[in-house]
Amino acid sequence: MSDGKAFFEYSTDDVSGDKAALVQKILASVQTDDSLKPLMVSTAPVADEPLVQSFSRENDFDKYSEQQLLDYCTRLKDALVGRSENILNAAVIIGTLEVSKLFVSANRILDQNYTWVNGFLLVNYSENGRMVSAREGANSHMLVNVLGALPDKMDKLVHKAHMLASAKPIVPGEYDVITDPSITGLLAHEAFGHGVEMDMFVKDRALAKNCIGAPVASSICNMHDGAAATLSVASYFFDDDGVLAKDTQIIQDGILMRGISDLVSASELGTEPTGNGRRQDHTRKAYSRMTNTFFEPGKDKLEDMIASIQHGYMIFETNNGMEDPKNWQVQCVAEYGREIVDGVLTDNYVSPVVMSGYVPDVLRSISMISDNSEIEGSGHCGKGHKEWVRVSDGGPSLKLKVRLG
Amino acid sequence: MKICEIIKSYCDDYKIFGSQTSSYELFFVHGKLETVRKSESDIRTVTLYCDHDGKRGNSAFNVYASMSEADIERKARSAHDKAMLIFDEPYSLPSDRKSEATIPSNLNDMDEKKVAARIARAVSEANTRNDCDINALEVFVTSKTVRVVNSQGIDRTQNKHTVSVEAIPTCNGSEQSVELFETYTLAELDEHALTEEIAARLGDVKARLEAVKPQTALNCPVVLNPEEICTLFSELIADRDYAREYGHSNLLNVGDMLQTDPTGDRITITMRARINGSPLSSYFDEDGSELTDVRIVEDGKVVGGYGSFRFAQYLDKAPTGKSQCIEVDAGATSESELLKEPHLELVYLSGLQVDLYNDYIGGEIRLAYYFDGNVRIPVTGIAMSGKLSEALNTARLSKETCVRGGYFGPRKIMLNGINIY
Repeated sequence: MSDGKAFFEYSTDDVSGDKAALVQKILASVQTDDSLKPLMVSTAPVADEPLVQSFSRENDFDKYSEQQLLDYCTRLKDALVGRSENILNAAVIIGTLEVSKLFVSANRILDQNYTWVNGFLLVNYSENGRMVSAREGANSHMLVNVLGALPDKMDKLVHKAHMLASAKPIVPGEYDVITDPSITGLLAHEAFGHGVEMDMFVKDRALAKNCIGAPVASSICNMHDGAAATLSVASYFFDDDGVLAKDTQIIQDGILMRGISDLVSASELGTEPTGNGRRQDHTRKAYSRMTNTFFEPGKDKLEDMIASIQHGYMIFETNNGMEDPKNWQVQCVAEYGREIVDGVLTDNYVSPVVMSGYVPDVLRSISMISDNSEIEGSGHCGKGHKEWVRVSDGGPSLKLKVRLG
Repeated sequence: MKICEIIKSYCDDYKIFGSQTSSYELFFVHGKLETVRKSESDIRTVTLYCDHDGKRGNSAFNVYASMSEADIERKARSAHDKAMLIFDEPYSLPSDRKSEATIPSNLNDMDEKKVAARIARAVSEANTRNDCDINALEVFVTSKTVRVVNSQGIDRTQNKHTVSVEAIPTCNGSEQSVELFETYTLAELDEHALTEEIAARLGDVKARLEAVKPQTALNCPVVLNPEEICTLFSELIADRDYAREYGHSNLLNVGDMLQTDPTGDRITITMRARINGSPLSSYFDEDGSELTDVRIVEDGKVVGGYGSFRFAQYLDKAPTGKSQCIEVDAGATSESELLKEPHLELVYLSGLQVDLYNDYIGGEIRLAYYFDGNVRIPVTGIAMSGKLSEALNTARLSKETCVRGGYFGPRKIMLNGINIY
């Protein structure tokens, strides 16, 4: 609700009972202390173009019973444990997400239904007196794809756990680095995803606001965000403001083109909303949030990128990251790295690996981009330390120069 | 009909976890009120436990106020079928305890709208500098009632009132603008303390504007502040959860030395059910188990563990419940003594990384104060890393204590052996 001053929201999970009484309750609930009334902003009306539409995406959830999924997990877990006597514990997880949302405003009635599946293999592994944990995953909107992909990842998982059990700490310093798609996605997410959430523009909390049209990355970089930009965990049809999903190109040939916004931010900035208004759940406010965030593939072969490095690291698997949209510091934590020596990817593992630096320095140092691409749809993203939503990110491998520690 | 009457024919045991939350929220941008929100939710999570083939299975579903008896019955039938697919080792539920309590707080009888306005005013009273201000502020005034009922005679209710404040101190210079990100969740309203805290953070953000990247590598101890201290000890304590021990994923066992060769203070950590002023204080956990205080580390040695009623049974340990507060014993050195020698005081990190598996502590430093023995200067653009075990051996804890979130303990901790780069 808006009265030309502040925006007002009331959320509840109970709309039963007398509707007139509920309306009175809502109006009373969003009153403010008198001392705050002079402080209210002035707002323009938000867009509410007429639209009635239903959306759904094919899924295969009804083809598998819970018994079948449990049997699958149990068989795979037993097979995984049988791979090595060093496995202390193993877990196989099939997580299904089914979203059904109805959006009703004065002029719009929209509904959507879509699904997502995340599958994980996890092991706790002990060797040479050292314990490590390791994971592999697969994700898709179809169960059949995930169930088909996981068995092929068991050997890789056990080998990785074996190598991590002898991983050493990295010697801190600046290195030539190649990122795997997961870390590429983390970099996109932390470096320029949060930085172009346009509610941060309203608050003057994002340096990117002043850099639209300016070069912010190497000229070979192209970056997107959008629920309609690819098919992954954040690929909805309309956002929590009832705005249809879009594909937003954030960086084009190294130039910062535009940001991503929710309805309120777009209204305050006088821009078109991009379908990025998302809530953690019905009890929370909508903010400008990322969806699927990724770099476009380039033209280089991964093997050529590795061969071009005399001494450096290839780093793998997102652990966590932290944004700094105002000051463009970035921290990305990778689960592990492998040393590159004289153009060869060695089995010298290091773990964990913390990549940090100044965003423009990091992005301008990108000198090669691989021609493959992978989007990982198993992420969760907070805004600051709260407001968790599910996101994907990824892209190709990047070659860059950055500080590791 | 009551939920328990509907579900009891579908299970051997049941638990109903009810959560009623009311939140009044204000969102300010540049000192102007942009959004006013009120959120009310009433969700009951029903867990059915079904015994079969010498094992126990469980499955849960949510019940909302608008659901009919037929809706609930349909959910219960489905949950029963799912629980019959689960083959967990048998366990019992906590039993025979009825209670109703409110966590003590001066917020308990206050009007939520007035509390929100008072917080906004307290923050704005700190906002008096010409060069720095709070450019975004979010205020959440929350009342939460949880009730746990189970089929074994548990019926426990707890009321809690908290406030959360997210403030963004910002400083604008001629060449750049910088900010910090501060969040506080509080169990007591102390407007004077909040104003002082925000004023101090405005001083810090001014320092971030002036901070420089050191021209030469720093080689000195690092000093952690309460937020990072809480992260450090929470990570250590998490390893002593019974569930981790049962899953063979814990590293620390009773009798292990957390500090193998301490050169500083010996560390003592206790899980506490309640700490005065902590928003994480609680009388019982999600199972309705009574929370008990448990010593986890004493003088650098692991002496205990904690966990849920179920995993306590699996490990044949005393049930402790899952407390969320930790207390760390204070050290012998005053803060002023500790800070006399050269050090790097960490004010604002991207996020402290603590990894027991890899014996690692580190992170990117966005603002710190470097004291060379004579002068204290703000620095930025650096990172740190080191061996966790070696750092813990050198830990020196301040005599002065504070409460931050679920943490009560030394306000400063000094660690040696950390690389700064």
